[in-house]
Amino acid sequence: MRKNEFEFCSNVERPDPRLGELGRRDFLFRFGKGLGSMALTSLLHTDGWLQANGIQGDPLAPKVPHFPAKAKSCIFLFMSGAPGQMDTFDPKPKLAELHGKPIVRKYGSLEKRIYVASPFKFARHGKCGMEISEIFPHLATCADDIAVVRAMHTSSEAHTTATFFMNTGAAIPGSPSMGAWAAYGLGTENGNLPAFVVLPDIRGGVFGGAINWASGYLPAYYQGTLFNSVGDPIVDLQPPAGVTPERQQKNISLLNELNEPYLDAQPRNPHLLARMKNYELAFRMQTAVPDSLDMSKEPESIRELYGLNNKMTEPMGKRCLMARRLVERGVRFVQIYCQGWDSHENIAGEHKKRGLETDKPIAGLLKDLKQRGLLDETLVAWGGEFGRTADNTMDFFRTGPGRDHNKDAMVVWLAGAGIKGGTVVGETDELGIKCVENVYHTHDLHATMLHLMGLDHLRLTYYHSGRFKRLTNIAGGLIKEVLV
Amino acid sequence: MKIKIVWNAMAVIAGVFTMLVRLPAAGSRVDFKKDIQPIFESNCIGCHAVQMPEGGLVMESLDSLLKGGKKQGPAIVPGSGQKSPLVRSLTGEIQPRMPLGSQPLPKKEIALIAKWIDELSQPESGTSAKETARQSGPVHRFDTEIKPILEQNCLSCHNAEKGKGGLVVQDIDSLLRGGAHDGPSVVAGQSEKSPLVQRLRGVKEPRMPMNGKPLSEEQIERIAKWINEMEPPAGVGAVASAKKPAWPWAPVTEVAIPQVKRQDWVRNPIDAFVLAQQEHKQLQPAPSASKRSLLRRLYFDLVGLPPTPEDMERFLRDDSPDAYGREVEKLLADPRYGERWGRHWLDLVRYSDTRGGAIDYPRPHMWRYRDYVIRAFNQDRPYDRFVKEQIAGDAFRAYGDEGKIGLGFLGQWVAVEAEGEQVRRDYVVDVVNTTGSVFLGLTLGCAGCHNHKYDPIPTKDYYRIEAFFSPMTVDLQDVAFHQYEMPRLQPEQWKKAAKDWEQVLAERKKLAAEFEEKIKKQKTEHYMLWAPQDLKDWSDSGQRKLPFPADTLLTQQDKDRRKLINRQTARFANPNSPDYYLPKAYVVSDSELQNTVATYVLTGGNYKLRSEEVKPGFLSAISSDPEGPSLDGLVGSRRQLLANWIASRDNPLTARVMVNRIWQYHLGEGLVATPSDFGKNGAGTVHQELIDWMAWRFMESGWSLKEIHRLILNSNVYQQSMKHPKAKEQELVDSDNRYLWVRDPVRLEVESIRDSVLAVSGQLNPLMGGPPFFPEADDEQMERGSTWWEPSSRTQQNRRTVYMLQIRSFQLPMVKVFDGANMDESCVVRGVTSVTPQVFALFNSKFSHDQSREMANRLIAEVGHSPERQIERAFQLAFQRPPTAVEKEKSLAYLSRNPSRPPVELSLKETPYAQASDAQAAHGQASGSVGALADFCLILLNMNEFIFLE
Repeated sequence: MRKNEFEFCSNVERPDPRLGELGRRDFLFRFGKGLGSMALTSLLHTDGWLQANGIQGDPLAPKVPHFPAKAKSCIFLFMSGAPGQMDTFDPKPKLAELHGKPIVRKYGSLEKRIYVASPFKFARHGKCGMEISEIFPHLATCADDIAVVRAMHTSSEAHTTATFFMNTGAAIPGSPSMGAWAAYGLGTENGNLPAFVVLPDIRGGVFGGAINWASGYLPAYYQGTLFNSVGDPIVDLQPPAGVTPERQQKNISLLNELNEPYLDAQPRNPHLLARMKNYELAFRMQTAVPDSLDMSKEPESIRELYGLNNKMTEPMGKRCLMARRLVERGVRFVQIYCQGWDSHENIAGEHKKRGLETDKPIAGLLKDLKQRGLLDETLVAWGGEFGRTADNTMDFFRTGPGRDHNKDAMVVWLAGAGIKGGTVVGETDELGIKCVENVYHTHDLHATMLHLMGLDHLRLTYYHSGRFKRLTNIAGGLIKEVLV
Repeated sequence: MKIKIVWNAMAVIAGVFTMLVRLPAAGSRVDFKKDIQPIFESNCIGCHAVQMPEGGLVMESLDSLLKGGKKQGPAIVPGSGQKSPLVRSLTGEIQPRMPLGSQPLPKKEIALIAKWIDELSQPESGTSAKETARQSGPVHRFDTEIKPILEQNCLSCHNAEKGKGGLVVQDIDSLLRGGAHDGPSVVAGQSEKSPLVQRLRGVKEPRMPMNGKPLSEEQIERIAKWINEMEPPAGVGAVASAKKPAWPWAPVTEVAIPQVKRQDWVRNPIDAFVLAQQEHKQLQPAPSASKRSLLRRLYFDLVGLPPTPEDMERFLRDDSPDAYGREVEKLLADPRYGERWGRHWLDLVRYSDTRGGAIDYPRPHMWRYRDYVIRAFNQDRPYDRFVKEQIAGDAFRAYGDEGKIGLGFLGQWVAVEAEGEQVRRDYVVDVVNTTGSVFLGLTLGCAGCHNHKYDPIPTKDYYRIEAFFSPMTVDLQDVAFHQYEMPRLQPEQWKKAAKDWEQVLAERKKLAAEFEEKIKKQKTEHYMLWAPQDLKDWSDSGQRKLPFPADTLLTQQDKDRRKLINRQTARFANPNSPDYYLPKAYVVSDSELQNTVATYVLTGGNYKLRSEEVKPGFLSAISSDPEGPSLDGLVGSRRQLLANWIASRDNPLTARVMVNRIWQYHLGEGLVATPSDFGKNGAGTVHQELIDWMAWRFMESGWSLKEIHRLILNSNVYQQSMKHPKAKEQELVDSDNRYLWVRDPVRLEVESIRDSVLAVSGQLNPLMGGPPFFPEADDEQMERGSTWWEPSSRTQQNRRTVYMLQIRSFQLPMVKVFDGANMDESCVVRGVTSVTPQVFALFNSKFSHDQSREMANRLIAEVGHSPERQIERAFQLAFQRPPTAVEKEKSLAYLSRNPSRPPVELSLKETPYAQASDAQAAHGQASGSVGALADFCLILLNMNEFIFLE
């Protein structure tokens, strides 16, 4: 198949004249076409998923990746609000010299702004000597496991659109999130759990809400499932109080008995059997989901490792431990949100506090994954929606200076499967305002993450609105330096 | 791509002379364009098009045939039809026989092709000037003079394998087609405008050959001269080709109704069109569905609700031949038809009661547009007028306020936070793209950044269309309520509701103020050091004191209270908020400076990269008016011109697209399965004639939707069963049922599922129109969606789903999991999925349990306590049939093992706003009340038969 990097709207592989291998199946689902048809039945058989769980038409059954995957699962730690790169992984000593001095500018607003040095000390850590801010003392002990991308930039400077961009590769709503793409491309290893789980920060909503884990133009079953922090993890996972499991089971068996004769009425309708199976699956999920989130059986050492014994670290620690338990059980993509990085003022206090809350849990997650041998098959990513500026306005006298939004430089790190630990990629200018060397865009991050999961971002397409669309739109390349 | 229509081949077999096949008179020469190309287009182009040709063979032009494919080389040997691999493949002499997977071509057509090739070596007298020019002039010179230059210098990158930048320089066709950056490389007759020459000369950067020595001036001059001598193609626009427009770009004309063998099966012309194709494919239509299935189909299809057991009984007893037809008429006249079919339109226009984006502000008056749509469908408003109202209702004075409300279509855009001019840009792009997809069935949006890759839409056309919208702004205007808007709901009632609400709000605000006062007092009394000790404060001198964070001071109860107060006093979060009742609507008007507003082609769609200025104009592939309409002395709006053009009988797309949509909503899939993409990259169709015939009838009937409904519903195609005795054999021929030999399964849409549950439980509130009701939703979910609202009263909540508040940032889980419409862009097809969370929504949710209980109460009220009679009535209500013996036996066994207790009256307090806690309390109390019978009802509501039609 001809491929060229410039022909942007047709840069897809089409095994079938019209649809990608996955797209074709979904196309049929979407249009309610008979899965009972000969061609499709054989297609499904070759996938081996009919045998896998006996559910006819399960689009979330495990699928063969484009090439052998390094990572089976991915945990994306989303630092919502955007951490400052010069306060975390990209030290800028030059800023200390300029601290408090007004910025010089040739044009633009007359608003008075001054340079702001990072209030945090950096030190070299690990064999690689990676420079990490003092707000991450625990993570610093994992320096040799993580690869920091310093020269990363993105396409939007407003929280919501940038958050959409980080999650869906587009600044406007309507595109599938990365987790949905992963679920679409790979299915899930555990049919009793959702393929893509979102663990929100209990403190509040994510910028833009559910669009960030939506399935966009992909079919709805690829959307992320948000696990509530209170009550049922999933809405209506459990029947109303008073309905015992025995009663539920009795009801399901009568339902399936009554459903059976109807199968004959529509021999060409694959959904009838799928629905019957779903009731049994839902019943199993009623136990499987709470079980996957039940941390009471974790030993004390693990609780300590994730910081569950400390009020400050407990919320994030819980989410990190849940994430481990979920990927352990075969969930494909877990996204953890951590709010509160948007420090327009008092970066010294706020970033420090975020460090105190997240450092131990995240380091605990990396160490725990490693000791279980899971880090070799799990990709862990950390980052916010954009970076922050080197300067600030003057109206912070009450609380101390902070930083504003900056889309031209930001920092992310990756760890785990297929990642060359101890690497630092790219350079920003001496003030950390703009990327200057080995520059990568968030599209490249997406391409790299899919790559590690065994998916070629150019081939993972879905036919929608007249063309084959993909996570990386018309861009994206691999961040080769971080790959083993 | 599927093998395209085999219609003409079939017509020959049937011995019918149709307009599509024109056999040349004996002795005359065969003309490629007239005689041969249509055969190729119908049978071969599906696989052998320029895009990804099978076997490398392109059959779109003589040149490409001479070039041939990978396997056989040149497809034709000029002068000898019998030697040409093309003919030998068609006869089967070369295997596999072509067209692959389809019936062989009729012998007559093969003979015609052979004759054409036989004649090829002699100069053609009948061909067009251009064809001649291409064969004798530039083609020849290209091969001898130009090609060697290109081969030596360019082909290493721009070959068919690599095709850098999408450009291949192997032949004239590929140069005319061009690449991704410059579009066509050669502009016939104009070397100075040809990117090929510009790049070679370095006028355009980067100069070509990339990283190589520039060509000599003599070589470039030779290429330029060759281009200058090429004859420019007819037509306008860079992409428009000289060929006659292909379907669906050609005007709609009346199509002859085909003859079929099984005349007895034909109830109306739709059947003839479909059956003719089936006969050609040797397929047989399915038998008719049972009478019971048909009535259920009609009800769900037209009004979105099940018939009552009494409706069914009456229909089954009616043996008159027109019983079915009368039901069709009855339901088309039922006002619930508008609620059902209006919802389809709302899908297309991405209807929402909020703006979208992060903050997702309400658009509290949008419901007037929703009611307008429902009204228009019920009145069978002529579709051309419906189009005009929605694009330029302000300019057509005769439409009055109704036209203004229709402009809600242009006010549906998704408002995303953006900077400066981008906001306006997002809006205009959304409007242009949606107009293109909804009315014209085109992926017009693609052309916003580059020439359309597949369809004849140059970028310039996109901005010409945009120019109609350039002076437009949306604002909230006073539009008085009219009597026709409110047949049942009187604005006086709203006034009272609003007044009640003001009172409640005032009380709540008072409580809120007292509460805040208390907190404030506590706050000022407590201070602490905020920053952790180890962080020396480096920006201030001395240590700072900051207020003790309020959230650690308040008890959980206080916090909950505060949250509730904040929510309850929020402006739009309550269905009784007067904002929903004001006589206002979102109306579009043009800037007073409309004559000075300029529109520019934007490079890559980026508003910072302005290119040439454009005037309003229509799509060049359709319009015969390349300059566009004159704006001199225009009274009214530019949009009026666009609306007239779209709603014109001369527009080839409007009617075709709409009849296809109607078909889709009736049968589950459009004849073109991508209903908003009629372009080359869409799904295409084997039913072009049927679409054309219906489009013609549609316009002839005065653009009456109900006329098309009647035709479809009364056809045998529609009434087919979902079972076919020969399904196995026929699937081998047509597994996707493209030829409509059986009905495909129909899953109810989420609106119908929810409405049917309410209808069967006896709780459905049929009140039409007015402000949306607010459903009960999971508290935490609402918060995650950064929204919150107070649910409406229970009777309000029991209204039809089309009246439910539509919020972009938060879709009710039941709606979401049952494939509800995505409101962020035009939703053209609802998905049909079967996923596990549907079980949570329909089997575990409070809504389902509440309604099952209501249904149990209804059963007891209607037939008393005999389990047998309860079961019979339950089956009648849910499925309009008695239970089978087995079903009855199983159900009886279930109920006898789990005896029901006497019902407890549900004493839910009816207030203008439901109190969640009340409802919950009632729920907990009532869950055991009707026990097994309620569970039994829940089981029926979850059966496959309940949500899949037969």
